[in-house]
Amino acid sequence: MKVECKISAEYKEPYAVLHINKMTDSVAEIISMLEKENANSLTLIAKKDKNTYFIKPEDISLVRTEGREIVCYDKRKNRYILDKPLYELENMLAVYFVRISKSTIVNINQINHVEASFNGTMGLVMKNGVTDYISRSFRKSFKERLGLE
Amino acid sequence: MKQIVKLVIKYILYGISWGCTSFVIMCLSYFAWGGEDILMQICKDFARQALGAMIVGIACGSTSIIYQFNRPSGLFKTIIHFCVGMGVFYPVGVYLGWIPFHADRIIYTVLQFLASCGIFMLIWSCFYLFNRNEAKKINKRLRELEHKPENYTDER
Repeated sequence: MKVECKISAEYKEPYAVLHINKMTDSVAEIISMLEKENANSLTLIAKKDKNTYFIKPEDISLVRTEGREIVCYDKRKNRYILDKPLYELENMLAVYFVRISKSTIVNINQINHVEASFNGTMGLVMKNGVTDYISRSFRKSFKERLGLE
Repeated sequence: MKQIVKLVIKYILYGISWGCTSFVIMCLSYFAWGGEDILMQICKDFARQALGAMIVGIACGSTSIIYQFNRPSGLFKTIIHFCVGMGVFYPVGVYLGWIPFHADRIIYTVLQFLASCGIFMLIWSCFYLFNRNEAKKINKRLRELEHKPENYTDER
């Protein structure tokens, strides 16, 4: 892989762009390494029963729109309300999460399994038991993220 | 809103192309089976036959747009798709002579209807088997990734 590195005082934060035609294990590993430092320091502010919590992204299983609220479920299936829009959370959590429908992003490491359905969508079961579905329009990008396409 | 309009147009065109392709395949099959004589009967009534194929294409193909939306539930979506598809296909089929209809022999009509339902179910079974195969591949990949947790920063 060709590597180009620009060093300049104008960059306040390190920012990497990879030009790839396919997600492979080694590329995923590089992304993981590059983003590990920032990702580890990232915490989300979430609310539950009028209390405020700080949650690490790796502890979140799934984030989705429920009615007018953006909610997330942790590994123990606790439900929290977030105050950021889904697209912003998707960008923030890009290391761990993948979008599976217009209303849901999921932590790849927290997926238990997927199930076939008759209607073209694919059911998804998280390790904490929360279920959702992968819509047809996001299936390709989901598979690409897993390195299947 | 703009995205929804684009999606609707895309699915209508998809339904029309599905109907037209099916129509051409049927015409080719008739030609291979009965020669030009049968094909000429269709050609005499070409405009109505082609239009009928497009309408059925939209009813069966374009209505699959319902699966793009979160609601209603999966089963209900399938029921709506089935009812709209069959609700349009059967009357159009009888009207254009694709399906013989004899008022005095209603049992044949019922059997034809059941056969049509069977074809619908067969198509859905094919989709299900395809999805099941996809799900197997994805689950296999998920298990592989579980053994390589460093790929996705998860500290388990």
